Amino acid sequence: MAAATPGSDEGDLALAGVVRRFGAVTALAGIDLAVRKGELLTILGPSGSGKTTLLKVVAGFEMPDEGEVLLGERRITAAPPSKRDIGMVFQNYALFPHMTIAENIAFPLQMRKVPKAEIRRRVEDVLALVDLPGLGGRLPRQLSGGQQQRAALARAIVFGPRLLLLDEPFGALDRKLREQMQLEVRRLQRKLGLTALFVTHDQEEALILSDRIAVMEQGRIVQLGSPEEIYRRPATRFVAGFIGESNLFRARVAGNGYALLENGVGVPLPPGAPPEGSEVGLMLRPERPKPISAGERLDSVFSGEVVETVYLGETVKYRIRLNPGLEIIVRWPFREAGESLRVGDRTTLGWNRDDLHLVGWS
Amino acid sequence: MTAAVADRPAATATGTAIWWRNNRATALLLLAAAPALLFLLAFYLLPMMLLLAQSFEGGSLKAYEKALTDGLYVRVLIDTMLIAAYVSVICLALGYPVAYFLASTRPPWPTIGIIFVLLPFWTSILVRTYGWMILLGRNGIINRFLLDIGLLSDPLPLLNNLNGVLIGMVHVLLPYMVFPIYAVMRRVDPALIAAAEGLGAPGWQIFRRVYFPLTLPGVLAGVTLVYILSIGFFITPALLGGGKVIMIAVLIETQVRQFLNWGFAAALSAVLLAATLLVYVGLRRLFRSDLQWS
Amino acid sequence: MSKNQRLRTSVRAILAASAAVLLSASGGLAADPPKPAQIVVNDSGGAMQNAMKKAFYDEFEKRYGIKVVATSPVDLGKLRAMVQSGNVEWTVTEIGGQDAILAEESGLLAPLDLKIIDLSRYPKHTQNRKHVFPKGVYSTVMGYRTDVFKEGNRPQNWADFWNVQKFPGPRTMQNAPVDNLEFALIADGVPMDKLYPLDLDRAFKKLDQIKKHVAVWWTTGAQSAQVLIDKEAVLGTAWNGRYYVPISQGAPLKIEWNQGVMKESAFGIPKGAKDAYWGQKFLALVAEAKPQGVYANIIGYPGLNLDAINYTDEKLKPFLPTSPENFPKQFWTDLAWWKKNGPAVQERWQRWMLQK
Repeated sequence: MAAATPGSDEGDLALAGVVRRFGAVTALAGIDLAVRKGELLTILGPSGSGKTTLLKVVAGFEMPDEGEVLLGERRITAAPPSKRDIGMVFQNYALFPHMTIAENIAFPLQMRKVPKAEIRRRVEDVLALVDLPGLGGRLPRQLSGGQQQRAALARAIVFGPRLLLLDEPFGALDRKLREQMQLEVRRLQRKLGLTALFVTHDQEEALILSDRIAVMEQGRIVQLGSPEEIYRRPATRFVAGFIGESNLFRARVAGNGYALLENGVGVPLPPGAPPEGSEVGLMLRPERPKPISAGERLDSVFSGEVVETVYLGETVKYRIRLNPGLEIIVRWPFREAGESLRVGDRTTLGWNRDDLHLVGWS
Repeated sequence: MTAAVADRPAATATGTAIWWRNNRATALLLLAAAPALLFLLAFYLLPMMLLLAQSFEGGSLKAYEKALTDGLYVRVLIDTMLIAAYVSVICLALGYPVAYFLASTRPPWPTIGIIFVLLPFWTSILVRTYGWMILLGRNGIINRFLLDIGLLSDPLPLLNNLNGVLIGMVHVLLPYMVFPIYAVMRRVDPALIAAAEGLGAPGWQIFRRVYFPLTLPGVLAGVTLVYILSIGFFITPALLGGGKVIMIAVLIETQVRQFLNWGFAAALSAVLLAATLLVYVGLRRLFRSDLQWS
Repeated sequence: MSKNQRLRTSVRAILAASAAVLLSASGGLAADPPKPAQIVVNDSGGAMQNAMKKAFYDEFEKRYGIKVVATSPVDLGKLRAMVQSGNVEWTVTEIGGQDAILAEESGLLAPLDLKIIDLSRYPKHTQNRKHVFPKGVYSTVMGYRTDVFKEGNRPQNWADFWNVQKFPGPRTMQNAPVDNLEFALIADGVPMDKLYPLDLDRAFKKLDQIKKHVAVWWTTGAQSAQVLIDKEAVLGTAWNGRYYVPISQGAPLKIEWNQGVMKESAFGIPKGAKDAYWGQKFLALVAEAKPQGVYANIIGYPGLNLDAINYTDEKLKPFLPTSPENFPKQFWTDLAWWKKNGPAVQERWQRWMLQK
């Protein structure tokens, strides 16, 4: 079994060969992961990908069937949740409804037998830190969703945990508040230098918040990297489809740096293509294709008909049916699209071979 | 705005319409509850008022004076409330774990457990009581077994005393404790327990600080139900207490049936009702600080 | 009223009128009022109700074509509530022994029509009843287990009952002062015919001696015998019929008739009862010797009609308080004394029960 090297600055939290099965279902099929000190690492995946199980294994609510979990020097694989020194923010905050906010925040300190006077001081401090001064005496239900979120965060960090776990904490907030809270969590995590593991199914959120993202599919981590890497160079077709919007064409590698799309049209490939005859996926982010003005030269050029337009503020998303019978989604700044691309309009667009990213198809 | 319009006398019609629009839900709810309210009024409140009126027969407070000063009735009233308190505490001690079991096991165990808890409900009170007699008597199954295996040399006094009364009453009333607690336990968010654990609480602290306080509304409901039902108990104490345990309902019944002295019976009932309400208010007070969140 | 009903009513009226004319012409008898479809008789229920049905209700239905609906239990409080509210469901009701006089004095009962109810074959002291119909006799007697007290060493009187050295073992008595005070006084040496007015202080003092030996103060009739059967107690008191049933089924129990206290079981017609006339007719039937014999054969409680013994099973006679052998050993309770002193004595009894 591969063991991570504990204690190195490589891993503050380390999982090595973690397997968890539920009957015939394998929820975690061998997870190796190291979260660096002070890093916010996001576990991103659709529901059923195993990310929640992974979180539970780290928190101690699930025991792995195989493998080890290490927190710094400590092997915590079999330690009960209460002995793990992990602060956790739950999906619906899980604030104790019968305790005031101050009592909620004091709870982990009381459990650690911190002296009363110090508890009072630390509760005050953390309330100020999360911008809830003077609300310590309220009951959770007397606070707004955003305030509850802050309180839950305060409770999770007040005792100086070794690791902060965030389990889809923004799901219950409306969009505007969510964005605000995301930034705030990010700011706090940075400021306190907390190592954090963040679980979400929301790829946009993951891109905004994370230092690194681990994308999970069917109990495995299929890609681990910075948001930019994940976005620009998804390792698999699944990642490509899951993160951000993309056009994904199935193609077969032909000779001369070309690939044939399913309808037989050839497109120039970027360098590093697999050998001739391989089946590949060609990923094209919607912002990459350009409308062609006269005299411009691009590797691939198509003309087509706009079948759908969606205004997104600064950008407009178009669905365009290309001549060879392909559909493509593009996103262009409002201006560049010209004044009046409407449904039914014809347009010509194109891209360079470097705009394409190759992923395995199967 | 709307309130201002409603206040203006000239706009009464509009005001009514607006009131109706704003309060339609409340009004409809009231309408829906009306049959039940009328039923309670006609078959509960009214007879109770009539009964209370009888306690002031001849415009005097004599009946009350007797009920409140006569050592016999005061003593029996206190005994009754004590017994009700014992029964409530025992029911809580037994019922809480049962409710926890029902709320936390996987199917089909909850269903099976609920059937067992409900069994006494489906058995007539006399059958139940005689069943206990067979089980608990001097020559009952329990005593004979303990004597036969040599654990005892004299039979345990399980029946025809306070023990018998408590056993019988707890048996009958246990469902009233289990179900309210069970209902509340089912609604406890498992994430809260996980949160407490994750925040460093050991098992018993989770129970003491989080789980138990969260189930307090059920506990209060159960204790109140059991206590109030206990106070009016009649047949079980008479049969299982061997006549040695006197509860107030027995004295009231004697006054009504044997001596047709409804005035005094009514006064005793009123005193009992007042004492019960007092205990109820006291219980609520006691729990209130812990329940304001619910 | 529908046309049909009106027609039927008028036809019935004409028939009734013609019948009346015919009858008065022939024998000078008054006509029966119109027959209701049913009357309601309230009794103590259980085995008693079964016996009542076989002995009286079925016979009444056969004779008059009026159905008898039986209800239970006997409840003086309910009777009062019915009479006071004017909504009387019962045509006839049983009345608990000690309650008869109270019911009568409280004006809850309609007068008996002794022209309809024939009491001429009843004991003299019961023949002039105003409201309370003397249905039968029962006796509170001593009973014991024959496997505990063998032949030659058996309690024979209340002094023996109190003698816990000679007759050891737990006792059972009724949870009420009635009968028990009398037994205590007899045990203390008061003759049966000099009991009333009861000397309460003396009686309670005597009861003090037995109190801690009473394992069960019984509340219901069924309980009184069951306690002996279950061996919760080995010596006790009960109403005689309660012992008869288990003894006839082979339980090792025996009745001691000596110094038993007899009471009448009573029936009455609630004041304001519908079809009161048919209530009188019903009681007339209950007063007859033959159905009383049938009733006694089933349940062991005799009626008061002196001829009923002719219709009673020979085997049953030792179990009847009215049998020539048993009757003289017992005494009658003083209902008037109990009526007057009942509430106060009951309170004293309960106070006494509370003392340790």
